[in-house]
Amino acid sequence: MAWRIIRAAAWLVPSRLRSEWLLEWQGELAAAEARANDWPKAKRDLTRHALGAFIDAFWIRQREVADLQAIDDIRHGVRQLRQHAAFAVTTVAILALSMAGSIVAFSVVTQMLLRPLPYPAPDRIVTLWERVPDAAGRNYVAPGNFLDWRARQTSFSHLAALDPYSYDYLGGDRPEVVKAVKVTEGFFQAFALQPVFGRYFLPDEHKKGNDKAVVLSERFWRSRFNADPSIIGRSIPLDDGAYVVIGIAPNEFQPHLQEYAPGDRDLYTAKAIEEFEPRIRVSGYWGVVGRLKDGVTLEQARAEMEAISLQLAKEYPPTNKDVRSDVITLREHLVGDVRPAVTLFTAAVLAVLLIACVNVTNLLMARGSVRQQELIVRSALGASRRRLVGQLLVETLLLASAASVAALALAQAAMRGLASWGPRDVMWIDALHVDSGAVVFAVVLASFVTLAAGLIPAVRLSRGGLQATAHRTTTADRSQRRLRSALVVAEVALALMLVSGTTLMLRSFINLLQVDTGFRQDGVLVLQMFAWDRNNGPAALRTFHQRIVDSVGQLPGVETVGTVQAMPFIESNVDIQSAVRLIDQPAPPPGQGIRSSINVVSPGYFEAIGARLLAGRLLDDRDGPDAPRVVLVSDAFVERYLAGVNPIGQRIEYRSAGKPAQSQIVGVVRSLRHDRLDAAPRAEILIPYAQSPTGTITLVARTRIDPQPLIENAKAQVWRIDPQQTFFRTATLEELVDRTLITRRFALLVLTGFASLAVLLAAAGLYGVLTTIVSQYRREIGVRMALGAAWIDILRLIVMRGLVVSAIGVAVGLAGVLGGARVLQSFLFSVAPTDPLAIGGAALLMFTIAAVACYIPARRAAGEDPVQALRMD
Amino acid sequence: MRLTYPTALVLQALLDGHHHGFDIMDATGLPSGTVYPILRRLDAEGCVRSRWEKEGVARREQRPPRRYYELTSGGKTIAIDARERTQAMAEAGKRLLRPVESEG
Repeated sequence: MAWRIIRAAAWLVPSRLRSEWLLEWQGELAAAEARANDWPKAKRDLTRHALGAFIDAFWIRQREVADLQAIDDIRHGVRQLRQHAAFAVTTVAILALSMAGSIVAFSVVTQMLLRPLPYPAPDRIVTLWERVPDAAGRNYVAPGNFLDWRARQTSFSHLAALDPYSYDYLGGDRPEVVKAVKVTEGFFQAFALQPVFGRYFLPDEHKKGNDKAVVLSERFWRSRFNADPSIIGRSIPLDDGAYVVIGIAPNEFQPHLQEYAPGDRDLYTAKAIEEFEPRIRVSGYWGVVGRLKDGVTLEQARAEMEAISLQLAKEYPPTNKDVRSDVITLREHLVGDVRPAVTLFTAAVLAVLLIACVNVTNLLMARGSVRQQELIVRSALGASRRRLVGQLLVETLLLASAASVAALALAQAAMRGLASWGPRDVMWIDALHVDSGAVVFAVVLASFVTLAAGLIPAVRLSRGGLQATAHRTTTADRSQRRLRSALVVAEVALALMLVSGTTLMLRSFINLLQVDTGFRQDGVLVLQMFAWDRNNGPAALRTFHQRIVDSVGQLPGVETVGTVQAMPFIESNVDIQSAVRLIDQPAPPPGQGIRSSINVVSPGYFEAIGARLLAGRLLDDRDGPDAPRVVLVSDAFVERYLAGVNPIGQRIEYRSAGKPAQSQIVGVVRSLRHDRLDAAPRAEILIPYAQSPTGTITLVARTRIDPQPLIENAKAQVWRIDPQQTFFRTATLEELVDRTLITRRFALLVLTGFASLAVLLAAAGLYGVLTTIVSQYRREIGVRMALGAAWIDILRLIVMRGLVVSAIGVAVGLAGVLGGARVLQSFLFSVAPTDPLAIGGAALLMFTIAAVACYIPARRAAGEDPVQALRMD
Repeated sequence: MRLTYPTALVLQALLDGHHHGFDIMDATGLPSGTVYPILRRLDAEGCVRSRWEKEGVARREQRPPRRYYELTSGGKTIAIDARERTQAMAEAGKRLLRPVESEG
């Protein structure tokens, strides 16, 4: 390091002295290195000493050459700025705010989007998905399809599926849920990351009966077993037995392949293919990862997978007619979704940065007219034009450097905020910080700002200085005014773009909050549990189910209790689908069969969640295990498949738990939203719990009081029935819905911040320009008023001038809004990116602000005594 | 000549037998960005003269030769004068300067 610094500093030394100078420093460094015994400390010291070489080099250069007056300029600049502290502080504040935004944007791009994945040859790792032809979006893979893909493919050296799972870990004080994933052969090999200790699964361990092997995550191993390596080979108690620990997967290993099982996994177990799984082709719920063979390109792999899925479409038309495959790189999968947000964010940041530069330009010019005198004197004393430009630029550079230091601090604070309050499910957001790249970027940014904001004023002012005019020339005034008007146009245009983007997002957000979810969010508590282990068979499940419903129902404050298998808005909300046949309807043409989501609910569920009955009846105690089989359907189901038919009394056939079942539709309920507010409602068949008991139970209780404090009481009630029962997720329904809004709310918040800043800066810029114009017009105003013009005429004259400038800005901004509509598209919901109300509103707002910014200086000028104005100068 | 406090310290160090830039830094505790310009100024004013260390010494220690600074007779006078003239400064200097022998 020290040697490199010396070599860099040597360039400052005049070439005549350079080689000897370099030898002297190198001689000292070599001697010091030879003497050093505490190496890290010596290294630090030498780096510090070497940095001093810059001062030495500067000193020599200053003495030897007359051309570089940088130090002088800096000294002069500092003196200037100290004398005009208000100006300096304002400028630094404006620049710091906008530069901080740019540094955050830069860090997000380099530390999140471009972050290297911790695996060898990471670009060869891909994820595979199902997709519907000509439709956007990717779906998880159905087990049957995965098994055929794996058997037929030749593009991948490893192709593995993962099936998220949770176990009850019984080795602690109390049973607890640990998050796991069952993986098929080749999963770890696809990532090619060595275990910390032990090994990964052998092919044999993926066979039924041999599959009681577990790989711990490093985090789990450190927290539960104090990083004890002797755990390898011992067994740990998980719900259905003892699992032998065979290896430890390193912390960097975070596959993040499934959205409904987010975050880190505690353990990995070997997946053995179940006998029924090859037949499942309708519901996709497996994540698939693969490593491309050497020499196979992504395109070749895509083409092969496309061919395989077309074969499967021919072989299994009822299920696979509309199923294709998609192969994307792991990186794209991890960060692809974040990209539009980052683009939007970067655009906003850039707009604010440009506005800030424009404002600083304006400030510099305004101050320049005050400094004209100084510059005239300096040029009269023999300062060259180049010298004056350099001097002015150095001043701006000083401001920009101070701003960049402040901006780095602000950016660090902002990124900490982003890490704690930003959307959690965005990968790596918690690792954001100011790194060396960000510091370098801040330096580059400061230079950019210096040139962008400082060059025009520097060149202009130095020209004014050289003209050395004792009296002001009106042409110079006019061209300066024109330039400053152009700057205001730019400011207004950029601010308008930000404001209309914000109003569009605000409208989307309001639309989203008004979406009919089909349920009532307030006053609902939710306990998700998996109760398969100690309740074997339908009868036992029914008993357990009835007991927990009754027992939670007895809690004071609880109104009604129900249960559901697929709970709306919960993280692990798996969409189980089935092919459905409407028995009383004409058979659909082949390949156009009906697919519907299947859900299991208890009678109390509808009242507890606040679902609305549209036709027929709800479920009740009549619909017991031995009663005729009945179902409810959602109105989305009716709209799609029973349009124009009375749904009540229709008989349908579907598969439940792998077996075909026939039922009669007895009622229609308003569809419930399941995943996000902006996703279409599910076409859903709701089966009574008594007729199809399941261990996947989410208990839903409507409460008369705030549900949050009741969660612990509800858990205690369940523990009275089974002290070993664990809870996979507990929450209030409001929390669950809110979670899906975080990203949007956050984006809205950020954009609102930027837009407000932009409006503020634009207003300040407009006000500044008009104030100068007015002061230059004072004589004219005085004459006019002396000749009898009413003050309202003067007011109109000035305000009009400002409004014309603003109007041009608004027009340019509107063009920008329409051009940039595409960037916003993915953030909007039920509102067009060219929505006239939002954009018109933004334009009106900008106009109003412009009018106010014009009115104040105009009013002041019009109210002035004409005699005073004429006496001026 | 202009005798600032750091300049006086550098003169002391030279008087006490420190002859290389980095040694003077260690002895005075001044940063390199202060010591070097002072040496250059003293050189220009004729208070010190500099030459390259003898080839043999450097070769024996397998490193490039170092620059060797020593006081001229004029410089020595100024240095002694400075020490005597400002007793307080000398006191401060003594406290700051470690004798060269103890370095080994």
